[in-house]
Amino acid sequence: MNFRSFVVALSLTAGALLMASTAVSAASPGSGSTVPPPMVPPGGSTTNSQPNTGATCSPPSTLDGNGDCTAPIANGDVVAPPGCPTGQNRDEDDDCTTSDGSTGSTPASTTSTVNGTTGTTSAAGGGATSGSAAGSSGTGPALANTGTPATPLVLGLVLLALGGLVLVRGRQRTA
Amino acid sequence: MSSGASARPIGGGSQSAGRRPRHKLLGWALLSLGLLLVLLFVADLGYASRREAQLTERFHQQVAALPPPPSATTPVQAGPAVDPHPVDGVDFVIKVSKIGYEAAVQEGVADSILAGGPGHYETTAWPGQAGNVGVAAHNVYWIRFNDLTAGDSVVLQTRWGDYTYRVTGKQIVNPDNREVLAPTSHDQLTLTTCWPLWAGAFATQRLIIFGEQVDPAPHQLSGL
Repeated sequence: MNFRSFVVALSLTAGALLMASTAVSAASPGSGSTVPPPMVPPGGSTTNSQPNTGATCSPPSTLDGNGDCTAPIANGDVVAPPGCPTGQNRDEDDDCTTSDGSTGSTPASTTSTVNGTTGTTSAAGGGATSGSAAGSSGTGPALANTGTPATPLVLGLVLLALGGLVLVRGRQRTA
Repeated sequence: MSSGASARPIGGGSQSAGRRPRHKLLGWALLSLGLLLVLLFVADLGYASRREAQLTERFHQQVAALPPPPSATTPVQAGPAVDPHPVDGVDFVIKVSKIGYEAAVQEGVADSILAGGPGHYETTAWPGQAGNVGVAAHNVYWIRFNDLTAGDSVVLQTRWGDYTYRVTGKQIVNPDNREVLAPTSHDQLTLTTCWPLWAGAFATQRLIIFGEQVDPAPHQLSGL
């Protein structure tokens, strides 16, 4: 390989490294995204709650230790949107209502839970939602992209290495 | 013959002599450009650190100018009396005495903010509010944060008082994790940065440091 081919090969390598670094940076998730993901609970690890209908619970719900009716959540089940008890959705007035509209609107709250230990409805009260005892409500903002942009540093180091190689290689060929 | 034979090495020598300066020129040009880029990177970090120090200093001046609390022995109350908002771009100051770290935290986690220092996740709670306070920073600024262990203290100094959190644990998660910053019913601090800390933009995971509020006494579950 002559010197010119050597320099071209090194340049191509440096370009490939730079493109790879740019691609890695671009692949990192962006910061501050506020678009919430679909609220799908972790696979099969939690329970879904239903409004209690009285002293008994309709299958597949069962009465839990708190006197609430809970049912398993299958993979892919959609949990209530933020602020609405399970089984209800936001209506045009931004209130939480059941899909059939048979029950009255519930003022929306600011949080909702998908944790299995929360979000159950009171068997005695028949409608009052609990859920403040959970450690986490499931979803929060996306993690920020906190990798320090280092493209100038990487490119600089590549060029330093390239320059050093050119000098050494040139000296070897002329010796 | 002899003149032709002697002309050959002379011609080859002149080619070699002509190529040597080109090697040197190209080599030194690459070295210079590379050195320039590295210096630009270092200078950029230095400028950001200087600006961060100025923000912190300005915040301390603003806090010092505020009227003192009603009683020195009165603990910090539940939280800000009004909706908290950044003043001059600064929300509060984060202090980690174990590693001698102090920095002003700005509102938001956009690239332009994180380039200069830590940022507060806009949709998370503020210190003093019940819930999960989320703060992020580039790994180059929090290069020593992996030294934090359970029991270490992290203080968030606000305009309405100081809030002390005790580190409870760390976790390495994927970048798409959305659970660590989820609202909590207890007063929690969640610090996030890229992992590995030394990897810059090539970091593929996130380091999460959790803390629980210990001073003032955290809100009750049925609180705010």
